[in-house]
Amino acid sequence: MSEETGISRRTFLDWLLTGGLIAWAMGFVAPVLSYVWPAQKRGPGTQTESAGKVDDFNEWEHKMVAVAGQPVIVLRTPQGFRAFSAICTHLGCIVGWDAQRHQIACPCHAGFFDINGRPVAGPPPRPLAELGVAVINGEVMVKSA
Amino acid sequence: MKLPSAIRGWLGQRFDIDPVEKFADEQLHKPLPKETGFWHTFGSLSLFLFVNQVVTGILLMVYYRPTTNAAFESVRFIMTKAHFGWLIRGLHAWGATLMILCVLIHMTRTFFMGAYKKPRELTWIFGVFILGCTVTFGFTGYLLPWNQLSYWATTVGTEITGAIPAAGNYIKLLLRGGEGVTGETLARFYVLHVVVLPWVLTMLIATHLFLMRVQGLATMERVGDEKPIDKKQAVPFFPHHVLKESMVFCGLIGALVTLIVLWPVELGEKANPLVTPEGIKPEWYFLPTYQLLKYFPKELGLFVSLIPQLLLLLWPFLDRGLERHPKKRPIAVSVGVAGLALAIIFGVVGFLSERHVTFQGKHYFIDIKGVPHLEQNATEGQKTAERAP
Repeated sequence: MSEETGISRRTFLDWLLTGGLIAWAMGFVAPVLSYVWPAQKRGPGTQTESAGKVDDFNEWEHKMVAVAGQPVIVLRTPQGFRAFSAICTHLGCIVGWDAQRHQIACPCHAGFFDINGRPVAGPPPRPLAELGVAVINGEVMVKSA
Repeated sequence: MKLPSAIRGWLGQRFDIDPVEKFADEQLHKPLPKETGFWHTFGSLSLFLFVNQVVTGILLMVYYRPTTNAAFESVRFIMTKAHFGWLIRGLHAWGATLMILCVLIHMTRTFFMGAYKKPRELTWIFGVFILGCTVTFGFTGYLLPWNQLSYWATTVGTEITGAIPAAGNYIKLLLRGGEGVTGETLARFYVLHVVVLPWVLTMLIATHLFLMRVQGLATMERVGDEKPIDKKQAVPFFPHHVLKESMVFCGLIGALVTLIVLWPVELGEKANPLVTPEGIKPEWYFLPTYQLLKYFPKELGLFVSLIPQLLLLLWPFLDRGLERHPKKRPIAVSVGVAGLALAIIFGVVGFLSERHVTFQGKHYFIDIKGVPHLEQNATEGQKTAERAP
């Protein structure tokens, strides 16, 4: 029988034993890996946060607010309110407002974004994510994505 | 080496201690090659500093609390309230810096003396892993005080891992324990820093030492032409080399205490995930890589920054010449000198970049890539910043 298939009984048992040992080891490794894998919190799909009263903002002024635990920069431009994720798309630093340049600036690697969130200078590879803003009863409301 | 007779007698009735004594005696009086000098003490210094890290680390753990609410305050407690807490933390923080420095000097000595060549390739590879492990210690420990600098340096550092093709985001998520740097990250880094890495490094060092003791120190003779050490010319490990090491240890302890007193380790401000401060820079040993990454797009930069590490790891297999003496290895020595020079240049540029500096009365802003720009009207604030240490 073994001559017909070219695999001896001993070789077959070796494979079986090795495979069994690997499967047995995986039985330990898999739960450990899944344990250290971050448990994802699933909160509500969207969240709305107040950034303050409309009167709190003069033109070209900004505010930093936390929406669903994430930092958001809210700007008042002549065209209205804009809100962007304040996490720089380069290496995750928190952006701020450069009042002189009228641009959003990252303090880490001198990245700049225009008032539409598009990168205009420095290393950021992508625009800042924009969030919805609405003025409701004189209150500036920012909606998470 | 003989044990006191009472202890020897007691043990001798229970075990055959002659082979153990003989082994210890051989190790203690092992003859070392005549080239063994002060440059050979940096390996032992690294080991001594590792012991220092373990002892001071255990002492810091007595008061340290690895949570976002308590980490910063517990370190402040260590610095201000615990007796000699400032000294323990200083020994730990400066000890880490000096340990990395000693490992680097030890590797540089090994490189230029050709000691990585056959049959000691594995010893070198374990040495490279020891360097990697030591640097990882630095990276994980840097976050633990939970201050602004450590928080944002960790944010940037872990963000870089996200650039690894395919697996990057998973590695980042695994390291951080979530999307951002949070209490989950602190807990993970703490476990790595105080449990996982110490054991890994202990194993690596034990293997490295075992290989070094079994194969002996390299001489300057050509590969394959090594002769047994001439006992008349040899340097005995004890007392000659141990005495040399003791002298350097004393100097090291003096340097350590001087650094702690003159440049105390600061705590800064508590981490604020909503505000990134200006001038975030990594620790000095990451500065060359940090600067190198700025010249390339994210993914390419990561690949380029891996080249020196791969070169280091594979060097014994790339340089297969038989000569060990630096004068007879012009290519290897040139590569080594160029590598060192580049690391220093990138490190200095990384340190100076994104800063306002004054040079010969003129004010310059050094941009992200290290190019100085003359400033016509430096503001008063900038001038103050330049004068600040």
